[in-house]
Amino acid sequence: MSDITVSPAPAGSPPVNPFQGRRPGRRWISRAFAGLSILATLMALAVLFVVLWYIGGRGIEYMTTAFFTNLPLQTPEGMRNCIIGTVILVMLSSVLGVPLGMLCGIYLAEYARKGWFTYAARLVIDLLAGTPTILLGVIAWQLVVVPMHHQSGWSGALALAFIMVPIIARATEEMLRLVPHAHREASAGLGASHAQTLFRVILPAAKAGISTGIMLAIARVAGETAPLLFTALGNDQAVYDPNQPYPSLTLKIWQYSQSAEASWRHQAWTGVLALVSLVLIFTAAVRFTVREKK
Amino acid sequence: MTPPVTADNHVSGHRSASASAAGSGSMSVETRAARHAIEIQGLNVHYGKGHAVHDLNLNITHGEVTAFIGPSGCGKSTILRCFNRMNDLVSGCQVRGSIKIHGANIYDRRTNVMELRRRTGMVFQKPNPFPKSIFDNVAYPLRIHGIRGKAVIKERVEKSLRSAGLWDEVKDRLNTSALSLSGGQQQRLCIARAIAAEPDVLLMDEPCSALDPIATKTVEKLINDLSKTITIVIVTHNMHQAVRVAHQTAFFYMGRLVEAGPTDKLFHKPDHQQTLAYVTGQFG
Ligand SMILES: Nc1ncnc2c1ncn2[C@@H]1O[C@H](COP(=O)(O)OP(=O)(O)OP(=O)(O)O)[C@@H](O)[C@H]1O
Ligand SMILES: [Mg+2]
Repeated sequence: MSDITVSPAPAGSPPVNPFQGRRPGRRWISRAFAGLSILATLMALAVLFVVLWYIGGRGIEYMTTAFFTNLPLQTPEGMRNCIIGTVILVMLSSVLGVPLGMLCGIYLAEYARKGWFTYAARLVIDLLAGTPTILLGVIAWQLVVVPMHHQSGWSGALALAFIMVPIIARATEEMLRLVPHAHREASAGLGASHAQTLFRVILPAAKAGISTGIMLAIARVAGETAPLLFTALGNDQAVYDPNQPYPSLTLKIWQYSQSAEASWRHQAWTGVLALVSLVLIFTAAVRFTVREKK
Repeated sequence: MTPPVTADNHVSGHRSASASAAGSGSMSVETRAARHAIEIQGLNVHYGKGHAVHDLNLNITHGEVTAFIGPSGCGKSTILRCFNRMNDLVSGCQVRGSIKIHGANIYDRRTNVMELRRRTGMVFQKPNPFPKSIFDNVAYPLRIHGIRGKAVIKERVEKSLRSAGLWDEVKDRLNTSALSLSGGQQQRLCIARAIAAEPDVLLMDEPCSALDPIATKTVEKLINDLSKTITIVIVTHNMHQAVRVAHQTAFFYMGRLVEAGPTDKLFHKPDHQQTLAYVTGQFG
Protein backbone atom coordinates (compact mmCIF):
# COMPACT_ATOMS: atom_id res chain seq x y z
CA MET A 1 0.00 0.00 0.00
CA SER A 2 2.81 2.41 0.76
CA ASP A 3 6.11 2.67 -0.96
CA ILE A 4 8.07 3.56 2.15
CA THR A 5 10.76 0.95 2.61
CA VAL A 6 10.99 -0.34 6.12
CA SER A 7 14.30 -1.69 7.29
CA PRO A 8 14.03 -5.39 8.01
CA ALA A 9 13.12 -6.29 11.53
CA PRO A 10 15.88 -7.84 13.61
CA ALA A 11 16.05 -11.55 13.14
CA GLY A 12 14.05 -13.54 15.59
CA SER A 13 11.19 -11.11 16.12
CA PRO A 14 8.15 -11.26 13.85
CA PRO A 15 7.78 -8.28 11.47
CA VAL A 16 5.35 -5.83 13.07
CA ASN A 17 4.03 -2.58 11.63
CA PRO A 18 3.51 -0.41 14.70
CA PHE A 19 0.93 1.75 12.88
CA GLN A 20 -1.35 -1.16 12.05
CA GLY A 21 -4.43 -2.46 13.73
CA ARG A 22 -5.09 0.25 16.27
CA ARG A 23 -8.88 0.61 16.45
CA PRO A 24 -9.68 0.19 12.74
CA GLY A 25 -13.34 1.05 13.52
CA ARG A 26 -12.49 4.74 13.69
CA ARG A 27 -11.47 4.79 10.08
CA TRP A 28 -14.75 3.16 9.01
CA ILE A 29 -16.83 5.62 10.99
CA SER A 30 -15.04 8.49 9.38
CA ARG A 31 -15.45 6.98 5.90
CA ALA A 32 -19.13 6.29 6.49
CA PHE A 33 -19.67 9.87 7.58
CA ALA A 34 -17.90 11.30 4.55
CA GLY A 35 -20.02 9.01 2.36
CA LEU A 36 -23.24 10.21 4.00
CA SER A 37 -22.46 13.86 3.53
CA ILE A 38 -21.54 13.32 -0.11
CA LEU A 39 -24.80 11.45 -0.61
CA ALA A 40 -26.84 14.26 0.95
CA THR A 41 -25.12 16.82 -1.27
CA LEU A 42 -25.82 14.74 -4.36
CA MET A 43 -29.48 14.48 -3.41
CA ALA A 44 -29.83 18.22 -2.97
CA LEU A 45 -28.10 18.78 -6.30
CA ALA A 46 -30.35 16.22 -7.97
CA VAL A 47 -33.51 18.02 -6.81
CA LEU A 48 -32.15 21.33 -8.03
CA PHE A 49 -31.14 19.78 -11.33
CA VAL A 50 -34.58 18.23 -11.90
CA VAL A 51 -36.29 21.55 -11.23
CA LEU A 52 -33.93 23.44 -13.52
CA TRP A 53 -34.23 20.78 -16.19
CA TYR A 54 -38.01 20.94 -16.09
CA ILE A 55 -38.18 24.75 -16.10
CA GLY A 56 -35.51 24.98 -18.75
CA GLY A 57 -37.23 22.42 -20.94
CA ARG A 58 -40.69 23.96 -20.76
CA GLY A 59 -39.36 27.51 -20.87
CA ILE A 60 -37.20 27.03 -23.93
CA GLU A 61 -39.96 25.17 -25.73
CA TYR A 62 -42.13 28.28 -25.80
CA MET A 63 -39.40 30.88 -25.99
CA THR A 64 -39.52 33.30 -28.91
CA THR A 65 -37.74 36.56 -29.65
CA ALA A 66 -41.12 38.25 -29.33
CA PHE A 67 -41.13 37.22 -25.67
CA PHE A 68 -38.27 39.66 -25.05
CA THR A 69 -39.33 42.40 -27.46
CA ASN A 70 -43.12 42.63 -27.22
CA LEU A 71 -45.65 43.66 -24.61
CA PRO A 72 -48.34 41.33 -23.18
CA LEU A 73 -51.20 42.69 -25.29
CA GLN A 74 -49.32 42.71 -28.59
CA THR A 75 -49.32 39.80 -31.01
CA PRO A 76 -47.18 37.83 -30.79
CA GLU A 77 -47.26 38.49 -27.11
CA GLY A 78 -44.20 39.07 -24.92
CA MET A 79 -43.09 40.17 -21.45
CA ARG A 80 -40.51 42.83 -22.21
CA ASN A 81 -42.03 45.37 -19.80
CA CYS A 82 -42.31 42.78 -17.03
CA ILE A 83 -38.64 41.83 -17.24
CA ILE A 84 -37.56 45.46 -17.16
CA GLY A 85 -40.13 46.19 -14.44
CA THR A 86 -38.81 43.46 -12.16
CA VAL A 87 -35.23 44.63 -12.64
CA ILE A 88 -36.15 48.22 -11.77
CA LEU A 89 -38.37 47.19 -8.85
CA VAL A 90 -35.57 45.12 -7.36
CA MET A 91 -33.11 47.99 -7.88
CA LEU A 92 -35.44 50.48 -6.20
CA SER A 93 -35.98 48.18 -3.24
CA SER A 94 -32.21 47.58 -2.99
CA VAL A 95 -31.50 51.30 -2.91
CA LEU A 96 -33.75 51.46 0.12
CA GLY A 97 -33.21 48.06 1.71
CA VAL A 98 -29.45 47.49 1.36
CA PRO A 99 -28.22 50.61 3.18
CA LEU A 100 -30.95 50.35 5.79
CA GLY A 101 -30.23 46.68 6.44
CA MET A 102 -26.49 47.23 6.57
CA LEU A 103 -26.82 50.16 8.95
CA CYS A 104 -29.04 48.08 11.24
CA GLY A 105 -26.51 45.25 11.18
CA ILE A 106 -23.61 47.62 11.84
CA TYR A 107 -25.49 49.16 14.73
CA LEU A 108 -26.29 45.79 16.28
CA ALA A 109 -22.77 44.42 15.89
CA GLU A 110 -20.69 47.50 16.65
CA TYR A 111 -22.59 50.06 18.67
CA ALA A 112 -25.47 48.38 20.47
CA ARG A 113 -25.17 48.24 24.24
CA LYS A 114 -27.15 45.77 26.29
CA GLY A 115 -30.54 47.29 27.07
CA TRP A 116 -34.17 47.47 26.16
CA PHE A 117 -33.57 49.31 22.89
CA THR A 118 -31.17 46.73 21.51
CA TYR A 119 -33.42 43.97 22.72
CA ALA A 120 -36.41 45.56 21.00
CA ALA A 121 -34.45 46.18 17.79
CA ARG A 122 -33.36 42.54 17.58
CA LEU A 123 -36.88 41.37 18.31
CA VAL A 124 -38.38 43.56 15.60
CA ILE A 125 -35.81 42.39 13.06
CA ASP A 126 -36.43 38.75 13.90
CA LEU A 127 -40.18 39.29 13.73
CA LEU A 128 -39.81 41.02 10.39
CA ALA A 129 -37.74 38.13 9.07
CA GLY A 130 -40.40 35.66 10.13
CA THR A 131 -43.42 37.65 8.92
CA PRO A 132 -45.22 36.19 5.89
CA THR A 133 -44.28 38.46 3.04
CA ILE A 134 -47.87 39.12 2.09
CA LEU A 135 -48.27 40.94 5.40
CA LEU A 136 -45.29 43.16 4.54
CA GLY A 137 -47.20 43.90 1.35
CA VAL A 138 -50.19 44.95 3.46
CA ILE A 139 -48.01 47.31 5.47
CA ALA A 140 -46.59 48.88 2.31
CA TRP A 141 -50.13 49.15 0.96
CA GLN A 142 -51.25 50.96 4.12
CA LEU A 143 -48.23 53.28 4.06
CA VAL A 144 -48.14 54.16 0.36
CA VAL A 145 -51.14 52.93 -1.59
CA VAL A 146 -53.75 54.29 0.79
CA PRO A 147 -52.38 57.86 0.89
CA MET A 148 -51.71 57.84 -2.90
CA HIS A 149 -55.16 56.35 -3.63
CA HIS A 150 -53.68 53.98 -6.20
CA GLN A 151 -51.14 51.17 -6.58
CA SER A 152 -47.62 52.07 -7.62
CA GLY A 153 -44.04 50.96 -8.17
CA TRP A 154 -43.01 52.80 -5.02
CA SER A 155 -45.31 50.74 -2.83
CA GLY A 156 -44.03 47.53 -4.42
CA ALA A 157 -40.43 48.56 -3.91
CA LEU A 158 -41.16 49.42 -0.28
CA ALA A 159 -42.75 46.03 0.33
CA LEU A 160 -39.70 44.30 -1.16
CA ALA A 161 -37.37 46.52 0.90
CA PHE A 162 -39.18 45.38 4.06
CA ILE A 163 -38.26 41.83 3.11
CA MET A 164 -34.63 42.70 2.45
CA VAL A 165 -33.89 44.68 5.61
CA PRO A 166 -33.99 41.85 8.17
CA ILE A 167 -32.06 39.45 5.93
CA ILE A 168 -29.31 41.97 5.26
CA ALA A 169 -29.24 43.26 8.85
CA ARG A 170 -28.76 39.76 10.23
CA ALA A 171 -26.15 38.82 7.61
CA THR A 172 -24.21 42.02 8.24
CA GLU A 173 -24.31 41.56 12.01
CA GLU A 174 -23.18 37.95 11.83
CA MET A 175 -20.36 38.73 9.41
CA LEU A 176 -19.09 41.65 11.47
CA ARG A 177 -19.09 39.48 14.56
CA LEU A 178 -17.01 36.88 12.75
CA VAL A 179 -14.15 39.36 12.23
CA PRO A 180 -11.51 38.37 14.80
CA HIS A 181 -11.22 40.58 17.86
CA ALA A 182 -7.48 40.76 17.20
CA HIS A 183 -8.13 42.97 14.16
CA ARG A 184 -10.03 45.48 16.26
CA GLU A 185 -7.31 45.46 18.90
CA ALA A 186 -4.59 45.93 16.31
CA SER A 187 -6.39 48.87 14.77
CA ALA A 188 -7.33 50.50 18.07
CA GLY A 189 -3.79 49.97 19.31
CA LEU A 190 -2.50 52.06 16.44
CA GLY A 191 -4.75 54.95 17.42
CA ALA A 192 -7.64 54.43 15.00
CA SER A 193 -11.07 55.72 15.90
CA HIS A 194 -13.96 53.30 16.04
CA ALA A 195 -15.22 54.57 12.68
CA GLN A 196 -11.78 54.20 11.07
CA THR A 197 -11.51 50.65 12.38
CA LEU A 198 -14.97 49.89 11.07
CA PHE A 199 -14.48 51.29 7.59
CA ARG A 200 -10.86 50.35 6.99
CA VAL A 201 -10.56 47.00 8.74
CA ILE A 202 -13.81 45.41 9.85
CA LEU A 203 -16.03 46.06 6.84
CA PRO A 204 -13.36 45.09 4.27
CA ALA A 205 -12.73 41.89 6.22
CA ALA A 206 -16.45 41.08 6.24
CA LYS A 207 -17.01 42.23 2.65
CA ALA A 208 -17.39 38.80 1.06
CA GLY A 209 -19.86 37.58 3.66
CA ILE A 210 -21.95 40.72 3.62
CA SER A 211 -22.20 40.78 -0.16
CA THR A 212 -23.30 37.16 -0.13
CA GLY A 213 -26.06 38.16 2.28
CA ILE A 214 -27.08 41.08 0.07
CA MET A 215 -27.05 38.84 -2.97
CA LEU A 216 -29.30 36.30 -1.25
CA ALA A 217 -31.71 39.03 -0.22
CA ILE A 218 -31.87 40.41 -3.76
CA ALA A 219 -32.37 36.97 -5.26
CA ARG A 220 -35.05 36.36 -2.71
CA VAL A 221 -37.10 39.47 -3.44
CA ALA A 222 -36.70 39.04 -7.18
CA GLY A 223 -38.89 35.96 -6.85
CA GLU A 224 -41.53 37.48 -4.55
CA THR A 225 -45.10 37.68 -5.80
CA ALA A 226 -47.42 37.95 -2.82
CA PRO A 227 -46.28 41.36 -1.49
CA LEU A 228 -46.65 42.86 -4.98
CA LEU A 229 -50.25 41.74 -5.49
CA PHE A 230 -51.84 44.85 -4.06
CA THR A 231 -48.85 47.19 -4.19
CA ALA A 232 -47.18 47.07 -7.61
CA LEU A 233 -50.32 45.46 -9.02
CA GLY A 234 -48.82 44.81 -12.47
CA ASN A 235 -49.05 46.72 -15.72
CA ASP A 236 -49.42 45.57 -19.32
CA GLN A 237 -47.91 48.74 -20.75
CA ALA A 238 -44.27 49.75 -20.94
CA VAL A 239 -44.72 52.09 -17.97
CA TYR A 240 -41.66 52.48 -15.76
CA ASP A 241 -42.74 55.48 -13.71
CA PRO A 242 -42.82 54.26 -10.08
CA ASN A 243 -45.81 56.50 -9.40
CA GLN A 244 -47.89 54.22 -11.64
CA PRO A 245 -48.94 50.59 -11.19
CA TYR A 246 -45.83 48.65 -12.10
CA PRO A 247 -45.11 45.70 -14.38
CA SER A 248 -43.51 42.70 -12.72
CA LEU A 249 -42.42 39.33 -14.03
CA THR A 250 -43.60 37.38 -11.01
CA LEU A 251 -47.05 38.96 -11.09
CA LYS A 252 -47.38 38.15 -14.76
CA ILE A 253 -46.23 34.56 -14.25
CA TRP A 254 -48.74 34.15 -11.46
CA GLN A 255 -51.53 35.68 -13.51
CA TYR A 256 -50.81 33.61 -16.63
CA SER A 257 -50.23 30.36 -14.77
CA GLN A 258 -53.84 30.47 -13.62
CA SER A 259 -55.23 31.19 -17.02
CA ALA A 260 -57.28 28.75 -19.09
CA GLU A 261 -55.52 29.93 -22.23
CA ALA A 262 -52.75 27.47 -23.19
CA SER A 263 -50.55 30.11 -24.85
CA TRP A 264 -50.58 32.17 -21.62
CA ARG A 265 -49.58 29.17 -19.54
CA HIS A 266 -46.76 28.56 -21.96
CA GLN A 267 -45.70 32.20 -21.61
CA ALA A 268 -45.65 31.68 -17.84
CA TRP A 269 -43.08 28.88 -18.23
CA THR A 270 -40.84 31.07 -20.31
CA GLY A 271 -41.29 33.81 -17.72
CA VAL A 272 -40.08 31.43 -14.99
CA LEU A 273 -37.04 30.57 -17.06
CA ALA A 274 -36.31 34.26 -17.64
CA LEU A 275 -36.56 34.96 -13.90
CA VAL A 276 -34.29 32.07 -12.93
CA SER A 277 -31.76 33.13 -15.56
CA LEU A 278 -31.82 36.73 -14.31
CA VAL A 279 -31.09 35.60 -10.76
CA LEU A 280 -28.37 33.19 -11.88
CA ILE A 281 -26.62 35.78 -14.02
CA PHE A 282 -26.80 38.33 -11.23
CA THR A 283 -25.49 35.89 -8.63
CA ALA A 284 -22.62 34.80 -10.83
CA ALA A 285 -21.72 38.44 -11.56
CA VAL A 286 -21.62 39.32 -7.86
CA ARG A 287 -19.57 36.26 -6.99
CA PHE A 288 -17.15 37.12 -9.75
CA THR A 289 -16.65 40.72 -8.61
CA VAL A 290 -16.22 40.03 -4.88
CA ARG A 291 -14.23 36.82 -5.19
CA GLU A 292 -11.21 36.59 -2.95
CA LYS A 293 -8.11 37.92 -4.61
CA LYS A 294 -5.37 35.37 -4.89
CA MET B 1 3.91 33.03 49.00
CA THR B 2 3.18 36.62 47.99
CA PRO B 3 5.87 38.98 49.15
CA PRO B 4 5.00 42.32 50.69
CA VAL B 5 5.54 45.16 48.30
CA THR B 6 7.10 48.10 49.99
CA ALA B 7 6.35 51.69 49.07
CA ASP B 8 7.62 52.91 45.72
CA ASN B 9 9.92 50.91 43.57
CA HIS B 10 11.75 53.62 41.76
CA VAL B 11 13.39 51.91 38.87
CA SER B 12 15.20 55.12 38.20
CA GLY B 13 16.60 55.11 41.73
CA HIS B 14 19.26 52.68 40.64
CA ARG B 15 20.12 54.19 37.32
CA SER B 16 23.58 53.50 36.08
CA ALA B 17 26.01 56.38 35.91
CA SER B 18 26.40 56.16 32.16
CA ALA B 19 22.69 56.64 31.59
CA SER B 20 22.39 59.72 33.78
CA ALA B 21 25.45 61.25 32.17
CA ALA B 22 23.32 61.65 29.07
CA GLY B 23 21.10 64.15 30.90
CA SER B 24 22.00 67.75 31.41
CA GLY B 25 24.23 68.72 34.30
CA SER B 26 21.74 70.35 36.62
CA MET B 27 19.26 68.08 38.36
CA SER B 28 16.29 70.34 38.96
CA VAL B 29 13.01 68.86 40.16
CA GLU B 30 11.63 69.37 36.70
CA THR B 31 14.20 67.29 34.85
CA ARG B 32 13.95 64.58 37.46
CA ALA B 33 10.24 64.28 36.79
CA ALA B 34 10.80 64.37 33.05
CA ARG B 35 13.01 61.32 33.30
CA HIS B 36 10.01 59.21 34.16
CA ALA B 37 8.21 58.30 30.99
CA ILE B 38 5.62 56.24 32.83
CA GLU B 39 4.65 56.70 36.48
CA ILE B 40 2.33 54.10 37.94
CA GLN B 41 0.68 54.64 41.29
CA GLY B 42 -1.64 52.30 43.17
CA LEU B 43 -2.60 50.38 40.05
CA ASN B 44 -5.19 47.66 40.55
CA VAL B 45 -6.73 45.71 37.71
CA HIS B 46 -9.71 43.39 37.99
CA TYR B 47 -11.18 41.10 35.35
CA GLY B 48 -14.66 40.69 36.72
CA LYS B 49 -13.97 39.20 40.15
CA GLY B 50 -10.41 38.18 39.35
CA HIS B 51 -7.79 40.49 40.80
CA ALA B 52 -5.04 40.49 38.15
CA VAL B 53 -2.79 43.33 39.35
CA HIS B 54 -2.32 44.30 43.00
CA ASP B 55 -1.28 47.79 44.16
CA LEU B 56 1.42 48.40 41.64
CA ASN B 57 3.79 51.33 42.09
CA LEU B 58 6.50 51.64 39.50
CA ASN B 59 8.30 54.29 37.52
CA ILE B 60 9.66 53.62 34.08
CA THR B 61 12.52 55.75 32.96
CA HIS B 62 12.45 57.77 29.80
CA GLY B 63 14.75 56.61 27.01
CA GLU B 64 15.48 53.24 28.53
CA VAL B 65 14.44 49.66 27.94
CA THR B 66 12.53 48.08 30.79
CA ALA B 67 11.87 44.35 30.80
CA PHE B 68 8.89 42.76 32.56
CA ILE B 69 9.58 39.21 33.62
CA GLY B 70 7.64 36.69 35.64
CA PRO B 71 5.84 33.38 35.33
CA SER B 72 2.90 32.95 32.97
CA GLY B 73 -0.30 34.55 34.19
CA CYS B 74 1.39 36.94 36.62
CA GLY B 75 -0.11 39.99 34.94
CA LYS B 76 2.63 41.30 32.66
CA SER B 77 0.43 41.67 29.62
CA THR B 78 -2.33 43.17 31.69
CA ILE B 79 -0.06 45.90 33.03
CA LEU B 80 1.37 46.58 29.59
CA ARG B 81 -2.11 46.91 28.17
CA CYS B 82 -2.94 49.56 30.75
CA PHE B 83 -0.29 51.86 29.32
CA ASN B 84 -2.24 52.44 26.11
CA ARG B 85 -5.64 51.70 27.62
CA MET B 86 -6.19 48.61 25.52
CA ASN B 87 -8.00 47.16 28.52
CA ASP B 88 -10.81 49.61 27.76
CA LEU B 89 -11.80 47.18 25.02
CA VAL B 90 -12.08 44.24 27.39
CA SER B 91 -15.53 44.13 28.91
CA GLY B 92 -15.43 43.51 32.63
CA CYS B 93 -11.91 44.83 32.99
CA GLN B 94 -11.58 47.50 35.69
CA VAL B 95 -8.51 49.64 36.11
CA ARG B 96 -7.99 51.72 39.26
CA GLY B 97 -5.06 53.88 40.24
CA SER B 98 -3.11 56.38 38.24
CA ILE B 99 -0.78 56.02 35.31
CA LYS B 100 1.03 59.09 34.07
CA ILE B 101 2.81 59.09 30.75
CA HIS B 102 5.06 62.10 30.25
CA GLY B 103 3.33 63.67 33.22
CA ALA B 104 -0.25 63.34 31.99
CA ASN B 105 -2.67 61.00 33.71
CA ILE B 106 -3.87 58.77 30.90
CA TYR B 107 -6.93 57.58 32.80
CA ASP B 108 -8.10 61.18 33.08
CA ARG B 109 -11.45 61.82 31.45
CA ARG B 110 -9.96 64.42 29.10
CA THR B 111 -7.37 62.05 27.66
CA ASN B 112 -7.62 61.60 23.92
CA VAL B 113 -7.25 57.83 23.82
CA MET B 114 -6.58 57.76 20.08
CA GLU B 115 -3.70 60.20 20.43
CA LEU B 116 -2.39 58.23 23.42
CA ARG B 117 -2.36 55.05 21.37
CA ARG B 118 -0.73 56.71 18.40
CA ARG B 119 2.12 57.83 20.61
CA THR B 120 2.27 54.51 22.46
CA GLY B 121 2.94 51.79 19.93
CA MET B 122 2.16 48.22 20.86
CA VAL B 123 3.34 44.85 19.61
CA PHE B 124 0.89 42.21 20.77
CA GLN B 125 1.70 38.82 22.19
CA LYS B 126 0.12 37.10 19.18
CA PRO B 127 0.87 38.47 15.71
CA ASN B 128 -2.24 40.27 14.47
CA PRO B 129 -1.71 41.56 10.93
CA PHE B 130 -4.73 42.90 9.09
CA PRO B 131 -6.06 40.84 6.19
CA LYS B 132 -4.55 43.42 3.84
CA SER B 133 -1.40 43.58 1.77
CA ILE B 134 1.98 43.80 3.47
CA PHE B 135 2.35 47.40 2.33
CA ASP B 136 -1.12 48.43 3.50
CA ASN B 137 -0.49 46.91 6.92
CA VAL B 138 2.49 49.14 7.57
CA ALA B 139 0.89 52.14 5.85
CA TYR B 140 -2.25 51.79 7.97
CA PRO B 141 -1.13 53.82 11.00
CA LEU B 142 0.20 56.54 8.69
CA ARG B 143 -3.02 56.78 6.73
CA ILE B 144 -5.33 56.87 9.71
CA HIS B 145 -3.30 59.72 11.13
CA GLY B 146 -3.77 61.79 8.04
CA ILE B 147 -0.53 61.30 6.17
CA ARG B 148 -1.51 61.43 2.51
CA GLY B 149 1.65 61.83 0.42
CA LYS B 150 2.30 58.64 -1.52
CA ALA B 151 6.06 59.18 -1.50
CA VAL B 152 6.16 59.88 2.24
CA ILE B 153 4.14 56.77 3.01
CA LYS B 154 6.32 54.63 0.76
CA GLU B 155 9.47 55.89 2.37
CA ARG B 156 8.18 55.37 5.91
CA VAL B 157 6.92 51.88 5.10
CA GLU B 158 10.29 50.90 3.73
CA LYS B 159 12.12 52.39 6.69
CA SER B 160 9.89 50.57 9.19
CA LEU B 161 10.19 47.26 7.36
CA ARG B 162 13.96 47.64 7.23
CA SER B 163 14.13 48.36 10.96
CA ALA B 164 12.07 45.29 11.70
CA GLY B 165 14.41 43.22 9.54
CA LEU B 166 11.72 42.20 7.11
CA TRP B 167 12.43 44.37 4.09
CA ASP B 168 14.69 41.97 2.21
CA GLU B 169 12.20 39.15 2.57
CA VAL B 170 9.15 41.08 1.38
CA LYS B 171 10.36 43.87 -0.87
CA ASP B 172 9.30 41.98 -3.99
CA ARG B 173 5.88 41.02 -2.69
CA LEU B 174 4.65 44.13 -0.88
CA ASN B 175 1.22 43.75 -2.48
CA THR B 176 0.59 40.18 -1.41
CA SER B 177 -1.56 39.45 1.61
CA ALA B 178 0.12 39.74 4.99
CA LEU B 179 -1.58 36.49 5.94
CA SER B 180 0.67 34.64 3.52
CA LEU B 181 3.68 35.43 5.72
CA SER B 182 5.04 32.94 8.21
CA GLY B 183 4.30 33.43 11.90
CA GLY B 184 7.66 35.01 12.61
CA GLN B 185 7.41 37.25 9.55
CA GLN B 186 3.94 38.33 10.66
CA GLN B 187 5.30 39.31 14.05
CA ARG B 188 8.05 41.40 12.46
CA LEU B 189 5.41 42.98 10.23
CA CYS B 190 3.49 43.94 13.35
CA ILE B 191 6.64 45.44 14.79
CA ALA B 192 7.14 47.47 11.60
CA ARG B 193 3.54 48.61 11.81
CA ALA B 194 3.91 49.61 15.44
CA ILE B 195 6.93 51.80 14.79
CA ALA B 196 5.70 53.31 11.50
CA ALA B 197 3.88 56.16 13.23
CA GLU B 198 7.01 56.92 15.28
CA PRO B 199 5.66 56.48 18.82
CA ASP B 200 7.43 57.89 21.91
CA VAL B 201 6.75 54.75 23.91
CA LEU B 202 6.88 51.23 22.52
CA LEU B 203 5.19 48.38 24.35
CA MET B 204 6.29 44.94 23.24
CA ASP B 205 4.59 41.84 24.54
CA GLU B 206 6.91 38.89 23.95
CA PRO B 207 7.84 40.16 20.48
CA CYS B 208 10.41 37.44 19.87
CA SER B 209 8.56 34.36 21.09
CA ALA B 210 7.93 33.21 17.51
CA LEU B 211 11.23 34.32 16.02
CA ASP B 212 14.35 32.39 15.09
CA PRO B 213 17.70 33.48 16.57
CA ILE B 214 18.60 35.65 13.58
CA ALA B 215 15.29 37.52 13.52
CA THR B 216 15.51 37.85 17.30
CA LYS B 217 18.87 39.47 16.90
CA THR B 218 17.45 41.93 14.40
CA VAL B 219 14.63 42.85 16.73
CA GLU B 220 17.02 43.25 19.65
CA LYS B 221 19.17 45.53 17.54
CA LEU B 222 16.05 47.53 16.68
CA ILE B 223 15.19 47.80 20.37
CA ASN B 224 18.71 48.97 21.03
CA ASP B 225 18.57 51.61 18.29
CA LEU B 226 15.13 52.85 19.22
CA SER B 227 15.95 53.08 22.91
CA LYS B 228 18.23 55.99 22.17
CA THR B 229 15.21 58.12 21.45
CA ILE B 230 12.14 56.41 22.87
CA THR B 231 11.03 54.46 25.91
CA ILE B 232 10.53 50.73 25.50
CA VAL B 233 8.82 48.25 27.75
CA ILE B 234 9.28 44.64 26.75
CA VAL B 235 7.69 41.54 28.22
CA THR B 236 9.88 38.50 27.84
CA HIS B 237 10.18 34.95 29.06
CA ASN B 238 13.73 34.80 27.82
CA MET B 239 16.12 35.76 30.65
CA HIS B 240 19.03 36.10 28.26
CA GLN B 241 17.05 38.53 26.19
CA ALA B 242 16.23 40.62 29.24
CA VAL B 243 19.93 40.74 30.10
CA ARG B 244 20.86 41.64 26.54
CA VAL B 245 18.39 44.43 25.89
CA ALA B 246 17.03 45.84 29.13
CA HIS B 247 18.51 48.58 31.28
CA GLN B 248 15.92 47.94 33.96
CA THR B 249 14.00 44.81 34.84
CA ALA B 250 10.85 44.31 36.87
CA PHE B 251 9.93 40.92 38.24
CA PHE B 252 6.26 40.13 38.85
CA TYR B 253 4.69 37.25 40.66
CA MET B 254 0.96 36.55 40.96
CA GLY B 255 -0.12 40.05 40.12
CA ARG B 256 2.39 41.79 42.37
CA LEU B 257 5.65 43.50 41.70
CA VAL B 258 8.31 41.64 43.62
CA GLU B 259 11.31 43.64 42.66
CA ALA B 260 12.48 46.18 40.11
CA GLY B 261 15.88 47.62 39.41
CA PRO B 262 18.82 47.67 37.03
CA THR B 263 18.97 44.44 35.09
CA ASP B 264 22.46 43.62 36.34
CA LYS B 265 21.47 43.88 39.94
CA LEU B 266 18.23 42.00 39.53
CA PHE B 267 19.92 39.08 37.89
CA HIS B 268 22.97 38.87 40.09
CA LYS B 269 22.22 40.44 43.45
CA PRO B 270 18.44 40.61 43.80
CA ASP B 271 16.95 41.74 47.11
CA HIS B 272 14.41 38.95 47.17
CA GLN B 273 15.04 35.25 47.35
CA GLN B 274 12.09 34.68 45.03
CA THR B 275 13.63 36.79 42.29
CA LEU B 276 16.85 34.85 42.51
CA ALA B 277 14.97 31.57 42.31
CA TYR B 278 13.11 32.75 39.21
CA VAL B 279 16.02 34.23 37.29
CA THR B 280 18.15 31.18 37.97
CA GLY B 281 15.39 28.96 36.64
CA GLN B 282 14.47 27.24 39.90
CA PHE B 283 10.75 27.94 39.42
CA GLY B 284 8.35 29.58 36.99
N1 LIG C 1 -9.56 39.08 29.10
C1 LIG C 1 -9.41 38.50 30.30
N2 LIG C 1 -10.49 38.12 31.00
C2 LIG C 1 -10.36 37.54 32.21
N3 LIG C 1 -9.19 37.31 32.82
C3 LIG C 1 -8.06 37.67 32.17
C4 LIG C 1 -8.11 38.28 30.87
N4 LIG C 1 -6.85 38.53 30.47
C5 LIG C 1 -6.07 38.09 31.46
N5 LIG C 1 -6.77 37.58 32.49
C6 LIG C 1 -6.23 37.02 33.74
O1 LIG C 1 -5.35 37.96 34.32
C7 LIG C 1 -4.19 37.33 34.81
C8 LIG C 1 -2.96 37.96 34.19
O2 LIG C 1 -2.97 37.68 32.81
P1 LIG C 1 -1.86 38.26 31.82
O3 LIG C 1 -2.30 37.97 30.44
O4 LIG C 1 -1.60 39.65 32.16
O5 LIG C 1 -0.62 37.33 32.20
P2 LIG C 1 0.86 37.35 31.59
O6 LIG C 1 1.78 37.66 32.70
O7 LIG C 1 0.93 38.21 30.40
O8 LIG C 1 1.03 35.83 31.17
P3 LIG C 1 1.81 35.21 29.91
O9 LIG C 1 3.24 35.25 30.24
O10 LIG C 1 1.30 33.81 29.83
O11 LIG C 1 1.46 36.03 28.72
C9 LIG C 1 -4.32 35.84 34.50
O12 LIG C 1 -4.70 35.19 35.66
C10 LIG C 1 -5.41 35.78 33.47
O13 LIG C 1 -6.17 34.62 33.65
MG1 LIG D 1 1.11 37.87 28.35
